[in-house]
Amino acid sequence: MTEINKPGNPIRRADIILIAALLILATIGAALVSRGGVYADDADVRITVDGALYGVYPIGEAREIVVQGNYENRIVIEAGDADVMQVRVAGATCPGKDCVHHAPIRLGGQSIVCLPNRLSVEITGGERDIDAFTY
Amino acid sequence: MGNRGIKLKTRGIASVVLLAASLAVLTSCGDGDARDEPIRKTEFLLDTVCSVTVFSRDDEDCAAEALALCADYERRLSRTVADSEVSKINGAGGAETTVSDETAALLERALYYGAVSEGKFDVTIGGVSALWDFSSDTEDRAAPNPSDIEAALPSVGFENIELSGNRVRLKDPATRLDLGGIAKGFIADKMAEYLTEQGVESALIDLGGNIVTVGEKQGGAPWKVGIRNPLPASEGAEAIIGSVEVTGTVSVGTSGTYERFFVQDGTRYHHILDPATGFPARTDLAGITAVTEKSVDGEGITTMCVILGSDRARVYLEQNDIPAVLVKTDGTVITTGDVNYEPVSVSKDGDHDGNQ
Repeated sequence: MTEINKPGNPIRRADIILIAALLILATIGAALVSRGGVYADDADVRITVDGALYGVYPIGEAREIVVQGNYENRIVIEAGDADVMQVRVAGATCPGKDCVHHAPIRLGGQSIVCLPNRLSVEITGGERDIDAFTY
Repeated sequence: MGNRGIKLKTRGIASVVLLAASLAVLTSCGDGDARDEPIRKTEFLLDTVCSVTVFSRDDEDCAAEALALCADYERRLSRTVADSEVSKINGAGGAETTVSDETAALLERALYYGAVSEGKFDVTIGGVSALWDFSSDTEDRAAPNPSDIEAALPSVGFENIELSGNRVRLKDPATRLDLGGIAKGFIADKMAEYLTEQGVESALIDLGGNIVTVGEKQGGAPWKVGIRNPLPASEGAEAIIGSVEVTGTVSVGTSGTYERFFVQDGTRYHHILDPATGFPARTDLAGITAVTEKSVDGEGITTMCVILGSDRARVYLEQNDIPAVLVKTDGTVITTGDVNYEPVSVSKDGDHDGNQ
């Protein structure tokens, strides 16, 4: 190992740094690929109520959106790096609250629906790895 | 944690692919091959969200027409629509009713799965299912009175259905049909047939998570359908457990005990009822996804398999060579047939999970 620090071998250190950098990049990439996920910053959160567009919000910006309809849904976009980025319904006044119990969504094409309020929250745009979701 | 070596190897391969892909992106910035935006129509039908996405061009009206077809079938097949064909059969007091070719064909499939499952899947559950309310529209959902279920059970039994051509009769006048466990698949098939007849070369039908791929995906790659994680949501849980790849017009359908349920006094009640007890099926399966040519078969098979449990389900699926992914409540994943399944291998916190 001491060879690395010899003045005659400056390239070796650069090599190691390069390899390390590539490994880090590849690891991050591999994590994204193997999770089947799409975390592109250009993805949007698209909210519709009864089929009509309510709003489109960039997934990269943390925010809270309160949608009023027959009932009220409080939607939270948790922005940040790939591990944090997710969208969920944090609260609702609908009777069953199935939308609140729904797991947070992170992947392009995933959606959360509140049937009583006829609300749909979907991740759209960006790169899409999965064509459809079965449940 | 025991198979970290395999996971790391997968990650290594993925890394090489990613690096190669990065190089490809860097060297082919904007090839100018602009593709039309797919046409997507969504409606609240069948007590869920239904959508049709058409990818091939010049098919403006097809998506809307396919959804109109879905609404039409819902009016015919719902037990809660007063003048539906199913309501007419249910209300006939044991007299004969004439139904459309389509309803007769669906009843024939329902009877088939009743026989195959030895009555575990049974569309004559209507008298019992009417006692349960899993609707999101209801506050404080509660289990029905056991004595009411007890009273309704004797009229459950698919042998009560007498089907001859387009004529249907319920031998026990108290028997009630509920096609909820199979109609969605049947309707998805009809929508796929319609799109194909209209010359649509590439489309996706999604009836509340019941997927039918129509034709080929644009660009020639296989369709990739993610399977939602059926296990209870927990911090760091994956949104999907994996995905299946399919080509052509096929159905990827799922039944699970996690989709419609309520909790009362600490007990969890899900919507797949066991015709023997009238209560939610006691099963070790959290969810099952099957790849079938027809969605009606996918729905019949997956609903039946949930009630049968993993051991009997596995035997049936393997004997019939049906590609399927079964997720047990303990998180174990079982695959059958030649299913092209790819599990998700890294959990949210970057650790390797123990699936497979």
